[in-house]
Amino acid sequence: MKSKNRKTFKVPKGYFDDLERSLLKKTRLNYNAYGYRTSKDYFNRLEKEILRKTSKVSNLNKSKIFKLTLLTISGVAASLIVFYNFSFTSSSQPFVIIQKEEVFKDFIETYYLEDFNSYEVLSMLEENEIETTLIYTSIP
Amino acid sequence: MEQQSLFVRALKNPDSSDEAFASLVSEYKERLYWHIRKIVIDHDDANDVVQNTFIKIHLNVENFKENSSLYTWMYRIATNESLNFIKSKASKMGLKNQGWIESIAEGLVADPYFDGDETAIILQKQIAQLPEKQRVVFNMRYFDRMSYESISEILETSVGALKSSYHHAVKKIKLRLSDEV
Repeated sequence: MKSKNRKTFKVPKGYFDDLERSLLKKTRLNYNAYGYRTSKDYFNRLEKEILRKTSKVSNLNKSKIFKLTLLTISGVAASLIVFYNFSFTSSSQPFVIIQKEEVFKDFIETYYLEDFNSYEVLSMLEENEIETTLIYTSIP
Repeated sequence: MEQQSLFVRALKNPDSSDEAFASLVSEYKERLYWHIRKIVIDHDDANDVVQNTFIKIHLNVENFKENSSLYTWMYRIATNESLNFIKSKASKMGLKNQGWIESIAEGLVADPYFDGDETAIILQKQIAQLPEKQRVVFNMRYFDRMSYESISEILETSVGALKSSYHHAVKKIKLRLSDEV
């Protein structure tokens, strides 16, 4: 049934298109109905920006994990080196001392075994190394 | 729920996470943006917060235990991010949270991203004067038409307390609007 209103009442041109758009806008939740709006194409740009940032964060995380692994391995390696160095030093220290002591004993031993007399020792020295100044005392 | 579990699994799986996250952003970006926008009011601030929200979601999806729906969990992150944002902005300006929000609402007239009429501006100013919790509840209930149960899950508050909050908020706004008009 055709409405009689069609003949008597008129609407502005394109009114029903605008009405539909306006109704859709108002019924769609959060869409500009309360005065808030965004710039054109904002949500497409937002999506791209979020994906760019999150992929950056992912890459950063991956490189962080890699660095952390590397750091852990280096740390373990360094600890092992330090540990072995310490254990080597602590076990070799007495050994060196013993060696030194043995060398010293050898030297003294040789000295006694050779049984040098004072003239022989003197003969081994240079002339300027021999103390020639004699100190006299009045008391016999 | 089963569908959600599959989606969450896809989000957690390194092979499918990028694709799943892209569809998550595509699906929820507008909803989260408008939720955040109503809390922080300013478009640029909302833009910062929505991006941070998605970054947080991306970073923490591994820890999502599916005790609530993904949507609720995301809304909770968005709400907390928005409130923390206001807190940090307000403290930087030496203001209280509400003082900061009221000052932003005062500037709505000159905001290029706000084209509401006089009534919309008055309403926003009245909403800005509500205590923070009431303001968030009012926005979720009045504008987003969310159920008390959903709001309760997001804000981790009892339904009774939410109903009371909303009731008080409506009462205050009605009273102030009748004074103003």
